[in-house]
Amino acid sequence: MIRVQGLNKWFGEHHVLRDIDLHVAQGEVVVVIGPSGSGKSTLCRCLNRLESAGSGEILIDGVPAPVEGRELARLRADVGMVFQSFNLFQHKTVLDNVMLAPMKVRGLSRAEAEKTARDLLARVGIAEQAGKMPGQLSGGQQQRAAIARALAMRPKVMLFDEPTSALDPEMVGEVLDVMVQLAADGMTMVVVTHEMGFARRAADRVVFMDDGQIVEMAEPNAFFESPTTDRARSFLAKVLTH
Amino acid sequence: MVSMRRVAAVAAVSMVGLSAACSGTDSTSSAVPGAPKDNGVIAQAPVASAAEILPGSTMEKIKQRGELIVGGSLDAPLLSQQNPTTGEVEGFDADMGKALAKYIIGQPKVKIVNAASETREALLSNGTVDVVFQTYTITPERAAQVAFAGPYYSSGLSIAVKKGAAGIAKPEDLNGKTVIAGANTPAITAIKKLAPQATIVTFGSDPECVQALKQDRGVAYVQDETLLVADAQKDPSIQVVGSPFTTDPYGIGLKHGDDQFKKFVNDWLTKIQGQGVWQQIWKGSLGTVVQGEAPTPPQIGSVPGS
Amino acid sequence: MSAFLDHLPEFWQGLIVTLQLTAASFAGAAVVGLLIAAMRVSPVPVLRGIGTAYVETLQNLPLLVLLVLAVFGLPEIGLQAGLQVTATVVIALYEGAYIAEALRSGVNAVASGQGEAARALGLTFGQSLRHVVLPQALRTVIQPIGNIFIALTMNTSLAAAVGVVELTAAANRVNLLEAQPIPIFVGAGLAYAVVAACAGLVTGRLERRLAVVR
Repeated sequence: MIRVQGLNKWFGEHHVLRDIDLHVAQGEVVVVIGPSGSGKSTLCRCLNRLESAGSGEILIDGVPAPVEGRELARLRADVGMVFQSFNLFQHKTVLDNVMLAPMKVRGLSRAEAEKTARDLLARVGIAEQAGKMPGQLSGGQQQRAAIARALAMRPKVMLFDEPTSALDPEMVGEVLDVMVQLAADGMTMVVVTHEMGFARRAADRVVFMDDGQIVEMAEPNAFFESPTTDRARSFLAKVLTH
Repeated sequence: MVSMRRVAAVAAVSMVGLSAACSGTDSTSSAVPGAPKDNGVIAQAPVASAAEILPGSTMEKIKQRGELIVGGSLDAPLLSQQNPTTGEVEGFDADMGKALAKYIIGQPKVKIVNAASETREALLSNGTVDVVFQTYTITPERAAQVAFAGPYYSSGLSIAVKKGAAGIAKPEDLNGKTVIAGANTPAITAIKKLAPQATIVTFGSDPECVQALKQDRGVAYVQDETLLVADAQKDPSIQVVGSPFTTDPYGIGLKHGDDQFKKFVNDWLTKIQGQGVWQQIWKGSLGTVVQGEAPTPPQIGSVPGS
Repeated sequence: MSAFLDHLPEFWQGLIVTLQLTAASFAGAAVVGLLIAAMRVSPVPVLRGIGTAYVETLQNLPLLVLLVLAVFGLPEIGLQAGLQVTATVVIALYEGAYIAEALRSGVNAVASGQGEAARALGLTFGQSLRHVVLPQALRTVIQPIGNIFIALTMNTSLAAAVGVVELTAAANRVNLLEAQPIPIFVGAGLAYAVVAACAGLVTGRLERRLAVVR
């Protein structure tokens, strides 16, 4: 579903991604972890070209990801993305947030779009919030609405860029539950997160990044029980003891 | 393809227009000292005797100050226009101001405060200026606000058209047509009276009006005859038709109610007209574009309001 | 005050022309401003360059210069329109630069995540601008745009210098007859003040109605 080959990226002098090779199969859930500044968010944003790649190749469903223009917009329509800071459209109701892209990009009628939207809002458990403005919702509710908004496009892949990092602790669970359910339903997912519990529960594979490189890649049990590199061991020691 | 000459001409007109328009909106800020140059005709101009400068009078105040403050223009060709190279303000009104300054002070020391027709009455009544020399037509309405010495000159409005244009010979012919006039000039009221069906468009300065006539913004341009004659001489594509159809007596604007000063200025006018100084001033300014000898100056106090 | 009241028809006619100039040139300025602002924030360098050049040029020339150039210069190259039409177009192009800058500051005030989220959903640059960024940007710039509207209203008086008989020119003409500048220009000033006050009122209402809960 996603194939990344020889991806490099620089921010000025800073080499943030080094020779990344990654393959995500249909229906697979890949969780990317690593210390902050390791390049994991940048990798996630490169996958739908919110960040431009320096060099290398990104294929989505076998097709090279376009660099710009309408083709790129079409690619993004098939790749859902959930942001750390939710990024719900502040001037639209929750329902309108979910309906906008299906109507403008997919050309759905208002009635069709609304039906899908209400179904999805029910699925993420916030059906009764449909008419409210984003600012009136809690962080957890906003993030669930953002997931519904991405799902409304019926994406082939979902990218999650630290979806729970901006949430109060008591709201992390409700968002992760939605994501676990989504994984169980067979969605192809790339999840950048600090939630080791989620990685254990839902991931097919864990990718550990440090200093712009993929350092280790393994099934969750193998990775968490017996990491093979020192860097992974020291990272896990830090995050798991707290 | 537009020739460079044409572009240059447009640019020149635009700039003239701008300076005129700017000075129109900015009524009192630009004060330009008239250089105290005592030559030519001003050298022959008389100086008042000490007895004539009455104690406590306006003229005594001006004499003590050493400078006559005149409300006037800096952009009126032949009348009161600043020479861009020398900085000197030249023309009929400007020289009259200098002559009056010399009469009071002994030297032609003048400070011109740029006035506009909407500010003249206020400038006089609040004492910003001592006198106004600015083709200030004497009317009974204005005479209720200010005092007028003179008239010191009488002019009339004429009509200019593009060369070869037919069908316009007198003001009544302007009915139903679009007519160009200088903003804030007596032409506007005169056209309204004599050709009520005419549409009037106004522009800030004389060069703009000429340009507008050439660009067919109107079929005719109504303006003071003297100015039109000068325009037609500079620009052969326009011509003046017929003879002046109004009589505009220009007065020297003074503070309302200052009868002592009004009498003083009227006496001075009589004096310089008798001595031929007035005629010399006319010859050096308006006379340079009009054929013939200086006209007979109008009778002082001969118009309602003076 | 009679100098003002005796000439109410002239003032009324002048006020109508002022309102026409204001309404038409503001509508034009809004369209121009929107286009230029879109160019200035677009990802295409050439468009950004054109947008910047437009704003820099128009903001660095006095409106009066543009009016005089358009009225007297354009006919020399064969482009001649009526005086009021020319003045309307020039004011619209001029004020459009200011509206563009106000909009751009509004766009910059919208969190970058909003545009990113829109693009991540597959909206094109234009769609994300139109449906997501600009509607939010507009809410933050209602007040500055209201101020531009008021400035534009006052700027229409410059059209008097190129032969358009709007409120200021009408006042000038009445004063020529009556020689009572204070009541006449106070009257004209009050009319401008009323227009500006209405604009302020509308701006305040719009701002309250469109306020976004954050």
